[in-house]
Amino acid sequence: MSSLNKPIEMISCCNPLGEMMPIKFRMEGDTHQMMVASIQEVLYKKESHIAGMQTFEYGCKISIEDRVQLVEVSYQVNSHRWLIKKIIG
Amino acid sequence: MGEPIIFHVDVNSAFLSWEACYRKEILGEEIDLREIPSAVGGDMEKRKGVILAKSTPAKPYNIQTGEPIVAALKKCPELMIVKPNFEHYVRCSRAFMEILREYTPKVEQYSIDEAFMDMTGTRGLYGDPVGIAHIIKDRIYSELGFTVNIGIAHNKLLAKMAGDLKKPNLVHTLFPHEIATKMWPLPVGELFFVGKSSEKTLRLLGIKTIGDLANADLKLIKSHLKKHGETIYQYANGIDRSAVEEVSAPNKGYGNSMTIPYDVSSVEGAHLVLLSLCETVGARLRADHMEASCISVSLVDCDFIHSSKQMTLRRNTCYTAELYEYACELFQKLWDHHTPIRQLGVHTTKLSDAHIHQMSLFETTSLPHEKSKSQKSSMFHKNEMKQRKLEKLDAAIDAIRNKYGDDAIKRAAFLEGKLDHMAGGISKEKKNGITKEV
Repeated sequence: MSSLNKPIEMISCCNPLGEMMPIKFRMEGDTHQMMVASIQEVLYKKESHIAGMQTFEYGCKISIEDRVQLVEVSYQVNSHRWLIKKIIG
Repeated sequence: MGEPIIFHVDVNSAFLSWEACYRKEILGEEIDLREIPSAVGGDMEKRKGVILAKSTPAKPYNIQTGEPIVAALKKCPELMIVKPNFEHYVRCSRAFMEILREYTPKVEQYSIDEAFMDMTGTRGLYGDPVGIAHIIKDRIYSELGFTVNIGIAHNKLLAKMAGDLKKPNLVHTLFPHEIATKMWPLPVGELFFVGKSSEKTLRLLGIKTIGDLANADLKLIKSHLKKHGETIYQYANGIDRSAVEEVSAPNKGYGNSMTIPYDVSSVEGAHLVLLSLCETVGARLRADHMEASCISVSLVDCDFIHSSKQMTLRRNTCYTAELYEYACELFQKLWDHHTPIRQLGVHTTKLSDAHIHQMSLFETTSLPHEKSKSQKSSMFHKNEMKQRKLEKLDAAIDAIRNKYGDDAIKRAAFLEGKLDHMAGGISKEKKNGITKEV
């Protein structure tokens, strides 16, 4: 399990109750090509206030370049930034 | 309700913990600043390069908070120094206070990283105070990621002393029956309110520990340290009757000082610094609808020698121009006109409500016998007009700054210089509501 903290461009949706779910994201690969990943399933969601910073962390099963991977993406409420926090497996 | 129960909650190495926690948990850095000799240091370029907080592994190197970074690096060359980020610290502080307020409405924020909680009468709700203190401590760690010390006692003083007993991440009690064993063996300098100078005086009297002070003759202490002696004598005996204040007490004075980025050696240069400080002090006084009747100017020269002078004003004021006039008058008497100046400060005290203005009978600048009656009355009128003009001017400036920011309007004297036109106090990036915004 490695810590990445890589900024990503995210498309997410909010349901009528205001609950946000990630749908699809785009990020830069190692050779600077853009890669698109779609979220197949959100396995867990947790809220964190570490360092006084409100974040939502989503454990997701994503499909990227014909592979399935487990990652944790995080949304920072204050700055509205999405990050891939870590690759779980 | 039973005995009062007061908690003192203090973040361990606050700035460093908050920085470490942010870097590790949010930025994903692998190094934990808390586990290596590290420190948060000020800006060396602005000559504010002092250690603000240090990690526990940095303590064996005898690195002191407040000492210059250069000196700290000599003691420990591998010391990792990181720049402070006040925005994060304020956010951490707010989140920390929010958690405390969930347990009792009576929370007194004592500084950015410590607070008193009045937990009196909560035994029925939360059970034993030590138990709930552990719950609060652990919750802060698990939710916010940093450790705190909690001191439990019957009053604020003992709670604070308890919180400082042994760090980090611990809960201590200091109830009256524990004073003799836990507090009295400590060196007298550790007692709240005993500074370096009082400690020196007490040591000369043969008082080395808090216990020595508690058992000393009050008359002897009072004869050397006056009223302050009585206060610390009571503190040494664990007596403190102050209550937990949810609303902070009103200011007793408004003052600002600034370490100038370069040494000033001309009157004009110093006047400009004073003007800039008066802008800040005046704006703060007016924002709180206060007027001051005493002003002092302090000076630190390039050899770090501190001097100050104060005067009582002819009339209460909160206007920048008037404060500046008095500050220049004091500065003229204070400075020897050749030693370069490192730091200047303007402080105002003896405050009164600006809504009730005491007019002076002798507001003319010249002596009464030199003027005829009509001249005197015209002079009085002139002064009144000047007052009103200043009032209108400052009100307009304040309104513009409130609406468009501090830099929206400034005096032409500051146009080309390197000086900030509203100097002193916390820097701009720190003005975010933890301390009152100007």
